[in-house]
Parts: sequence; structure tokens; C-alpha cells
Amino acid sequence: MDAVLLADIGSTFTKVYSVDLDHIELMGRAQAPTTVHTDVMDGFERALFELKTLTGSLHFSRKLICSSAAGGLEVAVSGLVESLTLKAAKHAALGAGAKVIRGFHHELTNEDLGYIKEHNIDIFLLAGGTDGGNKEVIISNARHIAGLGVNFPVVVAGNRNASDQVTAILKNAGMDVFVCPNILPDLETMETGPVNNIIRQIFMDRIIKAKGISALNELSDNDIVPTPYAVLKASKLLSEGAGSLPGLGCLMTVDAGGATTDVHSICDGYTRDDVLYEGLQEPRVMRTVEGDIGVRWNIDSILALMGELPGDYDGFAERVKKDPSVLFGPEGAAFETEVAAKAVETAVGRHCGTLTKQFTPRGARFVQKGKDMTGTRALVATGGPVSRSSKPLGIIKGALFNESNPESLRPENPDIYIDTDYIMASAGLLSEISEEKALIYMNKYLRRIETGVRND
Amino acid sequence: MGENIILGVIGADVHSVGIRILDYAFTAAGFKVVNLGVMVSQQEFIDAAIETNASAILVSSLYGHGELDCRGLRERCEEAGIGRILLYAGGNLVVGKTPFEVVENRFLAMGFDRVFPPGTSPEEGISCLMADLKSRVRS
Repeated sequence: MDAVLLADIGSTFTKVYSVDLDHIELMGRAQAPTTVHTDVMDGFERALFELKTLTGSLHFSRKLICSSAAGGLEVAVSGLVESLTLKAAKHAALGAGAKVIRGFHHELTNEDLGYIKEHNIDIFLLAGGTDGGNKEVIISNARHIAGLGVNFPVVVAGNRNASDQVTAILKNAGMDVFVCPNILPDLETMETGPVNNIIRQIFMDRIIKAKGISALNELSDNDIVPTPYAVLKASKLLSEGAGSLPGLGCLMTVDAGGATTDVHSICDGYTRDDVLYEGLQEPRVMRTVEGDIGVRWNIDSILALMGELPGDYDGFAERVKKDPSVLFGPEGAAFETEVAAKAVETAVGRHCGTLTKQFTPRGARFVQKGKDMTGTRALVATGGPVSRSSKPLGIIKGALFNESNPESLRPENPDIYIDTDYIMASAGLLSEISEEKALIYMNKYLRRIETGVRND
Repeated sequence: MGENIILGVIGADVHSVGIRILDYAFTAAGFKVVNLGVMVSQQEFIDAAIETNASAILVSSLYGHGELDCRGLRERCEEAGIGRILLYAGGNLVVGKTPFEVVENRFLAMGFDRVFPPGTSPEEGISCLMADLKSRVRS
């Protein structure tokens, strides 16, 4: 038997999985609280101990790790115009599995600079201007950042004709600079790949060390990746297939967590020929993160969206606010389902594009902004609330197309896959060994619950 | 030493007569007109303006899609390094009986400097452009 260990060092829990590669079987999974403040290895060892009580003594041929511990990968980005280079910069950072803690556009203000100085930013992504376009703003922003006297790596991916000057300014201030091709070389093309790769490289080479979790590096046989990147990789594999195994096609993964809600989509969202497109086209492989939508640590904003609550919900809400890690019995299930459903509904709504009617001399025309996800074939639901719930359909229904809000281009008729065993990140890790095995693993452990569910 | 200006009919619009009249009138008034013709995309307007170091982009639209076609033009100019260029729009910009003041306000909010209703004489556009260019030089 060839057993491998897959570990996800989360912000709250360290989760470990052992998979038998010969039979592609999940032999066991276990978790323990993550211990970043003392030694990250303590939590890891405890989780491993728990795992071995289930599986017995094991020898692992390989150990692969992803991490979102110690705040994950916190990136601040700046562009010139909000809907153009800032948007492209955000997509580039999110696609690398980073958390975009702030996005700035046009010239940095004193308030912006104060924020940058005070917060412990892992990486700054500096963009702005198409090639041959505006140079002034990115150069001036580089000067402002250089003047702060802080030290974080800066990825420069703006107007190529300003890159030399921007690099010199930052290097003279003693900062580490990584130059990438422009994320928006012209007004039609978003080029996020190179930035994406360099951000993960920096994460691996230094951020892990800087966060005091470098012991993980020695332990792992892979280059440690940010956990959201592992989930994105698994989603991509499930959508595209591997080797002779077919993929599911247009796919969306919704990851509802305690602090944030992530949505990943692998889909060409611009396939209609009867509509006009507005704005920059969004990437086929796209991740969005709603930092204000989390069922535990950010429950306030969800409650605000829910409006008036049934009487007994207030009590549960108060308990979550007091202790975000509180667990309810069956009596709290309805409350938890509704809160998670609202989180999913909101996050998916922000991820999907819209279709609006405009009147012209030739009658009504439709204008699409953002990705059209109505043709989604597979909708994957993952995250703590989903894996805990006995009624995951009640949570995921908020993601679906709704006749009462037809402008929102949500998945209309997808097959639904529930990640009951919470395996998506581990599947992304497993794909580093074998994409085919990772795909079989997902097909085996994601629970397909119903086809053609409609929210009406 | 006339200033370069960019002229064109935006989007999928093929109304070519008005633009010829404007080309003739602005040229006669001393401007160097770069006439891009009909069915011009935002990108083409911007590229031409950068190449010729133009001081204004004059967008014509007669088929009622003008508002859709012109959205985001100012932001794209900013990104392309010509954020302060003068943007004019004229023609049948919005379909239906929308009062011109409403149309004008929408275009001003989109970052256009001047908006002209149907029936405006070329001379009016020319005198506006001369005035705007003069005030730019002073400021």
C-alpha cells in the first residue's frame, strides 16, 4: 500500500488526510487546533496523532501541505482606474490564492499610505497604465511606497514603459522588487498568469518563513501552496478532466467559511452572441473572496442582509457573536442553514455577472456585465457549514438562478456536489502527484445529491 | 500649427454623412482632423489619439446606442495615459424622447466635456473647442 499524507494548515484547524494511492481511498481524516503562536508543529503532530488512532500506524511515502495559517497570504494591490488595472490586479492576486486586504486606485492618499504602513502586508502588487499609457500614477505611487520605510516584497506589473523607473525607485529604498509583464498590456487583454506565479513563488520562498511556520517546509515534499489555490486547482481539474477522464465542464465551487466566503468558477462566461458586453472581460478561471461574508467571524453583515429574524434566531446569533467557534445541536440547525444560505446567495451574486435590458431603435438589447454562469454544469459546495449540515441543499439553493432576480446570471440547472468529507483542498494537493488519481478521488468522495434542482 | 483632433462614429453605427460635414468644417477652421470614419471602437479612438498627440476626441453617434458605446471611455483614456483629453459627443445619443438635459447630464457624468443635441451647427462645435483649448492653455 502506498499511503500519502495531505495536510491543510488552516487558520483555525489543522486538517490531515491519509489517502491510499493504490486504491484511491481516503483512509482517514482528523483535525486539531492550529498552533501558530507557539509552534505550528504542535497542532500538526496532534492532528497526526488523532489520524493514527483511526488508521493505525502508517508510513507515508509523501507528505504534501497547503496553508492558510497566520492570516494566509495577505496582498495589497493598487491600480490606476478601478474598473481596469485595479480589477485586473485583484484577479491576479486572488487567482494565486491570496487574500486581497485592500485595493487602491489612482494616486495613493495619506490615508491609504497610513494603512499600508500599519498593516503587516505580505506582498504589494503595484499596477497601473497600459503599455505605453499612463506612467505618472504608478511612478508616483512607487515613490510614496518607497518613502514609507517599510519592507515587503513588491510585485510590479504595470505599464512596461514605466517599469525601469518604478523598479529603481523601490530598489533604492532597499525593497525587494519582482517585475512582471503588465497585467493589462492593452485595454482588452488581462494577463494575470505571470503575476499569479510570482506571488505563489514569493509565498513559498519567504512568506512561510516570515510567518514562523517554516518547519512545515522541511516536512513537506511539495512547495507549500496557499489553501485557496489548492481548492482552485481541484476545481479546475474537476472541470477540465485529466488524461482519459472527462471533466464536468463549466463549474462553480462555493466555499462558505467562518471568516470569508470564496467562489471559484471555471467557465467561459462570454458565449452569448445576442448580447452586448460591457467592461473588462473576466478570466475563465476566476476566484472571488467576500471578506465581509463569513458565517462565524463576520455574521453581523449576514444578519444585516437577512433583515428581520424570527424570534428564536436572535439567541443563536448572540451566542455566535460571543463565541464564533460555538457548535449548536439540532435545535440550531435551521438557523445555521439560513445564515449559510444567505452567505452563499450573496457571494455567488457578487461573483456572477448581470444582464440588463437597454432600449434602442431596433428594440430591446441586452447588455452583459461580468460572467454568465447560467450554463454551469456542476456546482460544488464546500466549507465547514456545508460539511456539518444535514441539509446542505438548503444552503446551496441560494446560489441558484432565481426568477425573482433574473438579471443575476447564476447557475440555472447544475448538478450539485456536496463536499461532505471536506476534501477539496486535499484533492488539489493530491493532483501534484497524479491528476487522474485526484480526479477519481473527487468523483468518489464528493456527494452528488440531485440533478436539475431549481430555486422556485 | 493646428491641433490634432480625432473624429469618428462609434460602435456599430454606419451613418457617414454627418462626419464628413464635420471633417470639412473643422479642417476649414484650421484643425488637423484625423477622421476614423464609421464603426470605430473605443480602442481605435484612444490609439489614434495617443499616436497623434491629439487634444480632443469627437465622438459621433446617430443610431441610439451612443450611451452604451461611450461608457467607460474616460476611464480607458486615463489608463492609456490621456486622461485629460477633451471628450465631445454629439448626435442622436439616446433613443426615444429622453429630454436632452437628461442625456447631457448622463454624458457629463461619464466624463465627457461637452455634449451636443441633434441639429447643432458645426460652427457651434468649433467655437466650443476653440474656447476649451484656450482655457486649457491658460490653466
